[in-house]
This record gives sequence, C-alpha cells and structure tokens, in this order.
Amino acid sequence: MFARSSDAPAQGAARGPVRIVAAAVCGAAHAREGTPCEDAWAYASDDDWVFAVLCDGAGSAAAGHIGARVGSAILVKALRRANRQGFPSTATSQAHWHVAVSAGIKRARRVLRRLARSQGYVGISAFHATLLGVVASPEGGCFFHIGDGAGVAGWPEELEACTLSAPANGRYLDETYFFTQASWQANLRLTVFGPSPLLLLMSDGSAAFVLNERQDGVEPAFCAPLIRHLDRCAPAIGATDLAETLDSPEAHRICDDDKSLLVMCMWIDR
Amino acid sequence: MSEMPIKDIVFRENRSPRLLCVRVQDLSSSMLEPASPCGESKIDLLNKGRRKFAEALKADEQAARTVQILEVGFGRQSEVWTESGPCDAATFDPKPFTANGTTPLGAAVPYALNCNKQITDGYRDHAILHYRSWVWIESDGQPTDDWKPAAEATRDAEARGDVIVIPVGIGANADFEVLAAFSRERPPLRIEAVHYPELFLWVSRSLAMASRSRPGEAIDLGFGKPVRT
Repeated sequence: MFARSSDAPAQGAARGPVRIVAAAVCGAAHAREGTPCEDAWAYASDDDWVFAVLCDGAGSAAAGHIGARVGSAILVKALRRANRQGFPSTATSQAHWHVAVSAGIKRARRVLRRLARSQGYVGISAFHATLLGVVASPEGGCFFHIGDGAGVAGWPEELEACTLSAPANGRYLDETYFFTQASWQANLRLTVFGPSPLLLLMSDGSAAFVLNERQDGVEPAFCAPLIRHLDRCAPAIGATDLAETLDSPEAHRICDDDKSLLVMCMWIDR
Repeated sequence: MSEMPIKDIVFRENRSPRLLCVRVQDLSSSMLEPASPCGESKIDLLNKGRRKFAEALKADEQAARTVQILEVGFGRQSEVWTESGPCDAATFDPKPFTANGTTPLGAAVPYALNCNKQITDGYRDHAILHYRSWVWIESDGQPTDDWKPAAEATRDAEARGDVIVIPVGIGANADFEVLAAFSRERPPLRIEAVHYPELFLWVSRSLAMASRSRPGEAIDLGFGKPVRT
C-alpha cells in the first residue's frame, strides 16, 4: 500500500501490480508572477486497487491552490476508506461510487468552509478548483469529474480506443465548473470503463498536447513514446523525465498554464 | 530546441486559447477630413494607430499568441466588407485603409457579429478554448441606414454574454446617442482622431491584459463595467 500527494513536483512509485508516475509543473504565467502552481494531486494504492485525484485551482480564486490540495487529499482518503469498508464492491459500480465520491466532496467542502472562516474569506469560492479522479482495479474502474482536465483509460497498444473522461467547460473560458460551486452535484460526471492497464489523469494545461486536436482522444505521437519510456525506466526516474517534459519550452509554447500528468499502469492479464 | 528526456515525443502546434478582437470601422468620406494641426486626415491617423497596434501586440508574447484580429469596414455605396483577418496578432500586418462613401452602420454591425459567430464556432469545432470576443464599433458621424435593429441585436448579444461591446465615437460629429444604443454595459468612448495612436496603444494593452487573465477575472478598462473574460 502506498499513498502520495503532490508535495514534491514529480513522484514515482510501484508496488505489486500498480505503477504510478506523476508530475506537476508551474506554468510560465505563474512563474513570471511568482505565484504557486495551482494543480495538486494525490494517489494511493491498496492491494490491486488504485485511487487518484487531480485538482486544478482557479487562477481567479484567492487560494485556488489550497482548494486543489484539500480536494485531492480528502477525496483519495475518502475513496480508500469506502473501499476498505467493502463499499462499493466493484470498481465499475457507478451508482455506488457516485455515493462514495459525493460523500468525499461534501467532506472536502466542509473542511474548506471551516478554512474559509478561519482565514477570513467570504466563502469557499476563494478555493475554487476543478476535480478529476479515478478509482480502478483489474476489473475496470470509474472516472469522476467536475470541470476541465481529462482522464483516459485503456490499453497502451490500442490508444485510439481508450475511454475518455472529457473536459467540460461552458461555452467560454470563464465558465469552468468547480467542486466548490453550489452547483457541483449537477456538474459531477462519472464514466465507467472496463479492464484498463493504462490510466491517465491530466490538468487542462497538459491536455492541450496529451489529447489530440479535437480533444476527443489521446495524441498518439505524444503518448506512445511517453508510455514506452516510462515502461522501461524506474518510476522515480520516469517522474523526473516526465516533469522535465512538461516543463519544456515546447510544452510552454503550446500552453503556459500549470501542467500535471499522472500515468498509472496496472498489470492485467488479457 | 532543447534535448527532450523522452525520445521521439511530439508536441502539436500552438493551441493557446484565442481572444478575437473585431474592429467595426467607419470608412466613410468624413474620415478624409483633416484632424491634426499638420493636416493629417482622420484616416491617416487611423492607419498610423493601426500600425502601432500591430507592433504593440507582436511585442507582447502572450498577446501575439492569443489575440486574433478581424477588421470590418463600412462605407462606399452602403457596403460592408471584411478588410482584414481573422489572423493571429503575431502575423497582423495592416494594409492602409482608404475612405469613401456613406455610413451603413446598421448593416456593418450584424455583419461583424455574424463573422464573430462563424469564427468562434470554428474555435469550438477545433476544440480551441476562447475568450468572449471584443467588438469595437467606431464611427465619426451619423449612420445613413436603419441602425436600430442592429443596436438591439448587439445589446441582446451582449446580454447573452456572446460579446463584449465597446463603442467609440471619433470627433465631435460622431453620433454618441446612436453609439450608446449598442451597449448597455459601457457608454461610448469619446476621442479625437489625433489621439488614435494612443487609443490603439491602450487597446493593445487591454487585450494583452485580457489574454493573460484567468477565467472569471475582471479587467477594468477604465470606463463602463469591467470586462469579465
């Protein structure tokens, strides 16, 4: 069993059937302004289950980065607890995971409300953040998603057939959805998938080049070399290489937002 | 290009969010009138300002990548046409305008709104995020066609959140009452043509600020309601 959060910008871990490599880098815009990276993630693995959550704090919020950290950490804990309690019993039980995820989001919102009061903010809008997570076992899994960013599940040799939890914004950039909004329940989407050795979670900064031009699937020219490389090297080295790739001039040329990418590989007999 | 740690990895081209700036420009005969002490006409000063606009946008790395420009002209024999664009600010190279004819403002603005819709639909088709478009309506005189339906349609588009409307009256003969009818959120700017270069510099700075803004952020233009990008 292991659990990690995005205290360090790049981490890799492997135990038993699960291998996770994660990185988050500050976008050029934040680096210029000296403001913190507003992406945060947390992940954990118990036996052959994996739980991962990625949140992206809103730049317009006073403390979006805090909302992202609290949201990701609390959701992973809540999902692990639900799993240990034997509920839901299967990775693809969408209705049951909806209950578990909603309970986790409510807990995160309660924590943020207390924090808002103690910090003198008017409400939890100060901590606006998107939320994207996944729970999976070798039988399959479920994405849960509020806002932008993207989740991908599938087989590395069949990237074009992967299941996608797509970004969901309103018509314009100023209509992103957050788990800290009153309307979060209406914007929560769950997407179930079958056995998937490869799982990706990405913030919108990374989705700009990890997904294809239409943003309805992965970009094989980016993903295939990435997966091959991570498969060959130790997780810690893979995490460093991933962070360097996200922090490259090529990546910042495409998007100067913060960039996060979690790559999870599970050993599944086909 | 730096050495990538992961071999063969490929990044696609620029997919920055876009901010479309639509300029609806009066090019009627009155724009030929002299407007500066040394006899430069309004159209001369406008063209000078546009060149400064292009330079200022290119000099800002973020704006050059994010801002797109579309220029719609109106004048001649009650005609409306696309003068230039849409193009990225990085490649915006304004050819000089010429002025002649009438002031069909009532036809020009719906034409511009329609162009805006086609372009932003194109952004969506290619999954390119975009800010609300800025529509600058500039005139130095009275319209020569029925402008009221266009004003109502523009106010409706503004109220729906489709566009941000910024009316500008050039000189004392501009019809500010008509221009005011095109936006509920901000009154028309009043400038003399001799201040065109300063106007364009200010526009370029405002666009640069907007291109750096985060979702929901309010940008104070200094008049009217702040622009929420």
